[in-house]
Amino acid sequence: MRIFLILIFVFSLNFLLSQNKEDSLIFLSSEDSIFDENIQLTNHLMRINEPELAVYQLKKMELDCENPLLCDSVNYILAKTYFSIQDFENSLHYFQKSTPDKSSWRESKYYSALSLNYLNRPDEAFMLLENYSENDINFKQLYYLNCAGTSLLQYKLSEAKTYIELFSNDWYPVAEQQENIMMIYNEMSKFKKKSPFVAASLSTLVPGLGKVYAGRMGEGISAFLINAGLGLVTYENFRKDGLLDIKTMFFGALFTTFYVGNIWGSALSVKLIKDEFIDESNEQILFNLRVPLRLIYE
Amino acid sequence: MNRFYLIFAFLLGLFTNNVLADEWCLAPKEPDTIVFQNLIDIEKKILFSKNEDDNVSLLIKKSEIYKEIGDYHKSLLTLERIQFSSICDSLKAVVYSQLSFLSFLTEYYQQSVAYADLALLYRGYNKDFDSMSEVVKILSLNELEDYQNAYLSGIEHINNNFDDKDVMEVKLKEWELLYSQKSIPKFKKPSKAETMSAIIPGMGQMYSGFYWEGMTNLGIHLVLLGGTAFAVYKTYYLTSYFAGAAVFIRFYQGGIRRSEYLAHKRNYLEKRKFNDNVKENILGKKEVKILEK
Repeated sequence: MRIFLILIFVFSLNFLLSQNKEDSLIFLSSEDSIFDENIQLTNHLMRINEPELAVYQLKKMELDCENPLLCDSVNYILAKTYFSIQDFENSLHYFQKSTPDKSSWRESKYYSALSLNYLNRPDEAFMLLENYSENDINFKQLYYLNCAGTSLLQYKLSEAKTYIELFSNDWYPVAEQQENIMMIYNEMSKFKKKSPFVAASLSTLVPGLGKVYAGRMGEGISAFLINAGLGLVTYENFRKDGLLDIKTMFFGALFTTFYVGNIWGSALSVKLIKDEFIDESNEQILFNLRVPLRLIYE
Repeated sequence: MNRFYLIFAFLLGLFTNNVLADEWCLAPKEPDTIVFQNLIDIEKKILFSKNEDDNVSLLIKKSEIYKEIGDYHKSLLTLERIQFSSICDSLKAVVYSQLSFLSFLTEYYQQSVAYADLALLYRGYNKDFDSMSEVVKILSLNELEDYQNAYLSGIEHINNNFDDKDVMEVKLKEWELLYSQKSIPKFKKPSKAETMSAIIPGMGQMYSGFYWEGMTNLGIHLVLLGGTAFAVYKTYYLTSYFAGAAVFIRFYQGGIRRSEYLAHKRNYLEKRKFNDNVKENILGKKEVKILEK
């Protein structure tokens, strides 16, 4: 009996001195329970809207983590937490730590692509998706949706069309978003890119016409009235007092300034309107890419 | 006896593993780290605690930490998590008082007054907190431009906090002077300023107390009108219309909008002057200034 007890004691000591704590059942269970507690704490911190504390707690867990399985879980939760607080650089960094043998591999791929899109790097997002192959029938629809959306973000309409044609619109997490992406694609196809050169030329001929061409009717009329008024005033002073009169030169200079400004403004308006349209479309695309991931994984 | 050895060996393994952590050599931590760690430790205790009373004191402690680092909004949100149904009246007085103060600091003045009223429902549990609630209520009412109620709250505050009759009389007199009809800000009506500027350019600015700007504005309009009339006299009709009248109209419209803005600005400056004066007086920083006009 004594020998049996001594053996038990020695065995326990062995556990204490063991470097590889995975060999010890006692340590694994306590580490697991500590890990579970910390995860509960992190979820609690997110629930009470304290994301900075949640991130801090997770970073601490990352540093203290020794078990590779638990470390993977920490990386995954960190990635999701960073994503929820829209810190896409960090979320991308942690999502990319996932490897093909992990259950979170697929999810990490889609979230990484979405993070890259949010970071305005759609080319990298597309490369990431190209290098990933999807086998599941339903998730293929999610894949096509992401490829189509990313192509639209790159303004590659023909590429987007090839993926849109593969939409089946029958899997509930992505069906509505697929329809929305199709609508966005149609709007983008119809959007006529206006030429800044044409706008500037029109404004040279008739002040304000370039802005009307760009789509800003009110600004065009205002520019026309100002330029017309100054032109007429300059002409009147020129006719009555000659070219070298100070009033003629003053109003002439004012007219020239506004005339040149109107040409420049028209060329710029075209670019501004195009940028506004693209920004609005991009916002809608990103939203429609985000929703299915939320439905499936959150 | 044999069973004892077995249990001892088992517990030894567990105990020493948990205690022998790597905490022997700690590098000095940065302040933010310490604050974050303290906050997390508190939330951990809240999460795993089964005692509601403990949670209340922990939330108060967390709120104090946020207050110390200057994050009054988070401090307020933390205190608002307290379940009031489970705490005693004396603690309610303290918590409501703190909520009132934090709401004032985060500029939620309506909320601040409401919390102060709730704190004063439990008057008598802590005189310091009662006094603080009264002060915060007065200052919040001032910010909400409810000067009548602020004045009455001030009277109540003086009656509750000064036992010596002579001192109380002096304080009451000072308070009356502070809230006399002459001292209370008289707000300008932005719509009236706009109308005055529409009738006579520059009058709206002068009504709001910006005399130089009003006179300059009037002068510019007169010059433009004069210039237009002169151009017509000299038969420069296009110049008179486009350079004279058009510019006059732009200045005229701009002047109307400017006068509305200046009325708002004047109201803000008057309010700030009065409220800051009351704040300094009530917090004892300086004596009452008698506003003489």
